[in-house]
Amino acid sequence: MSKLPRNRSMRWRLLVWQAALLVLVVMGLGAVVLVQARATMFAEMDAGLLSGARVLESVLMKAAGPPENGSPFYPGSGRPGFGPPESGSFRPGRADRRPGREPPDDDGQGRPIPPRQFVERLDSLPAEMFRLPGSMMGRRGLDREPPWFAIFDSEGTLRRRSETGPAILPPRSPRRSHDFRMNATAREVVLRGPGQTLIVVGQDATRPLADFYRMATATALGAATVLAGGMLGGWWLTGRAVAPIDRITRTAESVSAATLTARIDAGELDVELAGLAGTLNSMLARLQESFDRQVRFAADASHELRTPIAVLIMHSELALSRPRPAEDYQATLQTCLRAAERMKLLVDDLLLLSRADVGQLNLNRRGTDLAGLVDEAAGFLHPLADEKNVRIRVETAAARADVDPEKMLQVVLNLLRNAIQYNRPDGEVVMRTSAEAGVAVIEVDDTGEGIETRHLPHLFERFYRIDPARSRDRGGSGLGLAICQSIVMAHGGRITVESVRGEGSRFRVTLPAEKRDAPGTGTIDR
Amino acid sequence: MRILVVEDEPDLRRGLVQLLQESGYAVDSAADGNEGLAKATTWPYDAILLDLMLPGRTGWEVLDRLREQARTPVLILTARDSLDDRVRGLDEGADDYLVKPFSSMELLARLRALIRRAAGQASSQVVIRDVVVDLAKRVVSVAGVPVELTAREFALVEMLTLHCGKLVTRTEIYDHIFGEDDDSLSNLVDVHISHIRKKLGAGFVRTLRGQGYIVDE
Repeated sequence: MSKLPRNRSMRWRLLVWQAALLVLVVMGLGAVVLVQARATMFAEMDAGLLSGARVLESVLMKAAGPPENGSPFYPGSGRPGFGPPESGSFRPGRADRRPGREPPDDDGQGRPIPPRQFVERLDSLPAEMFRLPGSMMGRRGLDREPPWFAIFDSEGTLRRRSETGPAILPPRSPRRSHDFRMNATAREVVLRGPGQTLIVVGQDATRPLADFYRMATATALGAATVLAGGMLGGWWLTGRAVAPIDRITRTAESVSAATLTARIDAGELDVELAGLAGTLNSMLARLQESFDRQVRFAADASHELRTPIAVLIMHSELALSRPRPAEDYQATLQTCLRAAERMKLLVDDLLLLSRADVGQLNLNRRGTDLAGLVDEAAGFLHPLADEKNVRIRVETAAARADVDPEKMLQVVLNLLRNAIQYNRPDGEVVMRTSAEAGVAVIEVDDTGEGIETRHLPHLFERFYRIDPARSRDRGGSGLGLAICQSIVMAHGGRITVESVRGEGSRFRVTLPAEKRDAPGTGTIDR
Repeated sequence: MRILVVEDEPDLRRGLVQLLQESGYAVDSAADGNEGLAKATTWPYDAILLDLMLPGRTGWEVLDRLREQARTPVLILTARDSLDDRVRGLDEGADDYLVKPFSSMELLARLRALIRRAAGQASSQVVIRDVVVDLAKRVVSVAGVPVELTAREFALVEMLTLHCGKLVTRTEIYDHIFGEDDDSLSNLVDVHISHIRKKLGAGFVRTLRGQGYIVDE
């Protein structure tokens, strides 16, 4: 279904263009071939006809006779006593003149021959003189067709003609010395003879014409064949050109969530399409990656929820399985409450992350003193630090940033809680704030065992755990650092970590400094 | 029957231990992989409940190492529910796989089936002459009349009937019937045996002096 429009837009269009080009080329070529063929075909016949006409011309000239006979043919106009031998203007032998030269409309010295006298003289000539030579028609058997002739005077009146032959209309005087024309199926030459006569020699041309038509038909058939072949080839070629696109389309169409691993085989593709396939493939790879991340995230989230739910079910079923003393029920309820609180924590974290993912963290930003936030966080977690025997040191310098104080406090608390929990006993946590060029910085250093370098790039990934089970008994959901990162990035900041094995880690939050220049407008008083 | 629970989540571990104890099993527990492996290779448990995500040594590692030396039935109890994990668990030597959260009934049923199969019994009802032992309902009747047994006594009957026709040594009884936390007073096997003889008839259990006990088929 979806094939037609695509083919029409490309394959068909290519084909139409190709057809148009082919027709033009074939027609041009055919025309040239046919014109040439026609010229070749009639060339011999024309030569024969012309030589016949020349014979008649020479007869006419001979008939005019030499001037010393007082021929009225060449009367001297105002110059009596003019003689051809002396002048050399006319000799009987002049019939062997090269063809193409102007016929003698004059006496050779620019004096026209009066037609009237010439015609009278012509009429007096005996009929036997007007005969065409038998072998004038060349080689190809054309001489089997009997030629005919006719001679018209300057008035267009028929003066002489052969006994055979069709009716011959008086021709128009040719512009050059002679001209060829078709007369129905006959070929004729019209030659300007002496005394403004027109000599017409013709011959039936049915056979050469038939030859020509046969050739024309053959040429047309050939052209049609070439055209059809060209179109078929074009169809095949465009098909071949389009086939890889079809393959790409099919692969792309077959891709669904379950088959994101499918890739277009770019190996057999030409450079142009390989680029397209490569682009699609890298898009697929990115899609697959983010899809895999989502799947893993969902699996991890459900995995995290399973254990507290298992606790809930287990203890509820146990409590209900038989009558128990009141303190047992109390213990069961406490256990269930712990499980429920753990789930709530996880769900809250998940909600925050998904809000951050779609950019709906609803930050309530205002100018905030980060040093105050750090103090607040330290105050919150002092009990935990005491419990773990970890000392908290705060070294703050004024650092203000446009942040949501609640969310940023969550970040600081998360970092501080990690720093306390993963510290060594009798360890220390140092919290610093500072302002550098255009940025406000919070740093949290611990003296824990440090983090292996291979874990560092993944540390902010959701549910990433260095030790799969270590954080569980410390109450973490595995989302703390991911949440820190989401919140910091929503503020346009960055969170980074450095760690030295055996010495400790440093988490560093960089935030854009407060832009307002009116100091003291925003304070964090909570 | 003695069970080992290897689970790192304290609340869940506590619940499992209580559930199994109340169902008449002797139960040991371990909170991480190392402790779990140590116990699993030391005592001849009738079944092991094994979590996969464990601190110290993962459940996979525990299973792998355990299978090098023992054929103890293992039921994997985990939050990992992907097909790959289930297939891998069974392929690597686990006998069953249960995904959290689970129902206590299903867990107990699977555990019973596991122990029964390991002892070579296909059915959950074992008939020894006029004594019928229903392992699923945990009741014993003599000539159609139900007999009341304590949990300890039932565990002893269960063990002897599961291995009926075979000698069960005193050491085996100690290993399988009593958990690590049982006090020594309850360990008096002879007292339990005499109670069983009173309730099910003197001919139910035969004593092989100096070796142990046997329930003839």
